[in-house]
Amino acid sequence: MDEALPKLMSQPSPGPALTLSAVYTAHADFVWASLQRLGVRPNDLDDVFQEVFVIVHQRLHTFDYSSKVTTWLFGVCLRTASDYRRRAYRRREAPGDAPVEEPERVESRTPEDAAVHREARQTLDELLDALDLERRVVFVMFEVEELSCDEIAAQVGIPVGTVYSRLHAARKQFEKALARRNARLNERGAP
Amino acid sequence: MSDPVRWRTEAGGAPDGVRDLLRQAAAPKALSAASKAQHAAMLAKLAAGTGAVATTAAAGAQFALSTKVMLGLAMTVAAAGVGVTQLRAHRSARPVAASQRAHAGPLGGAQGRVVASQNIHSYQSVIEQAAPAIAAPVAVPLGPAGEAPRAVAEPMGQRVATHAGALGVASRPRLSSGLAGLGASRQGASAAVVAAPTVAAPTVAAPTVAAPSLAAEVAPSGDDELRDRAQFGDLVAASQRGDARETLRLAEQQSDRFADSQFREDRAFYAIVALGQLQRGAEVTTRAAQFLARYPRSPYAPRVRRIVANQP
Repeated sequence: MDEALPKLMSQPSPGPALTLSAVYTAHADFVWASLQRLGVRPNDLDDVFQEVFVIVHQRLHTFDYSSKVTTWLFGVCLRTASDYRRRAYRRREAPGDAPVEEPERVESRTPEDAAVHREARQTLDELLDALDLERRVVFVMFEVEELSCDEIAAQVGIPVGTVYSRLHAARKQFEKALARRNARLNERGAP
Repeated sequence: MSDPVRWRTEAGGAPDGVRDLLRQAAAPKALSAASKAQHAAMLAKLAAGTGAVATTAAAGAQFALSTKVMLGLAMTVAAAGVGVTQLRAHRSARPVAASQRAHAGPLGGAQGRVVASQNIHSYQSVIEQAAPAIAAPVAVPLGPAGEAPRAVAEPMGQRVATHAGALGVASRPRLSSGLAGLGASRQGASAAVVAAPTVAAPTVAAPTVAAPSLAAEVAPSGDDELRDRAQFGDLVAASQRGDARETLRLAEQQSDRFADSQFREDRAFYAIVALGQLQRGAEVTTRAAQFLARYPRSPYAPRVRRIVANQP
């Protein structure tokens, strides 16, 4: 076994030289989706997306192929989204800034349904915002996007056991946030 | 291991009202072709702005983006955007989640892929021209801003909190079936795990007081998965205390007991960490070779390599 170690110790064979354009072309969709999973609001998405690729541009030379490119990119997204969360610049969404919904869904809704939908989305956003980012991602990918734990593990670059653990922790955190929210509403006498 | 039941389903055991909330949730929206082209153009400018610096380092191969190139860039990007947008209009509706899953962009179908790739290639080549010297040298270690995600590069601290969270409270679906039996005293043990030092110093000396064992509180008749999880929590806690001998003992004991565990990769990693702390170089080498052969793409692999490299 020891004889095999030198080979195993070497880094995985690198692919073709990595360039900003290659990363962008292959993984822009992944970054875009990851930022949304991490809670970046539609109004800020373009800015944060650009920010990620500015960092990628600056740091690409440090990528050493010890992980998948998507794992590395996800790390950049995580840090950028974490900064974004801390910064005060996140705008409150004005009514006119509400995310554009898919036309077929909007057409089929009455104004009342649309209002209920909007309120549910706001509530869900509020509860998701209460989750740690790493848990939030797993929760959204599993519960909203309905990806399997294996798929999540592959995309995020963590063992599947960690996916299970984070999902479990996310659910607990979500439940607590929901309980806090309900208690708050009850205090106010809201329905 | 099969996945937990989703909260969206009736059997998922979601708290009241959460199923309705989740039904209203939307999967991430796909990046539109127009937006993608727009960002590509901005990145091309960015790359061009730093291109001079990069090329200076690369033996003075100066690069300047001329007005003509900029004009060509804008036209190419616009063409790419229009082409892809037109294709989007023709494509049949495709669920957003599916497109995200495939990571293949918003287009579906062979024709779409071909033309889209041509268009994408066109602005790829524009960026390529604008940033000729961004090729990645391989040997530089990961830096703070761009390093692998914390969970990958530093899984231990993160995972302690994660696993402690997993152990700390009762829950619903199969992930935690039976956790309710752990009782309130487990909360204290869980807190002890969270409060443990975040990075174990490479000390070998065993602490005199061990944290209370989570596994000891699990009824012997408890379900295997619960015991597996609880005992893994003990292992992580031992590692966090810097108790290498105990970590190793638990890792080996649990690896035998839970051969098909979801944590087997983690246990193998913790055993290597412990052996490294105990400076048992030969065993580190052997275990590392086994680990890397079995889990070549493991997020732990870089750390395992570092541990081997740091052996005297």
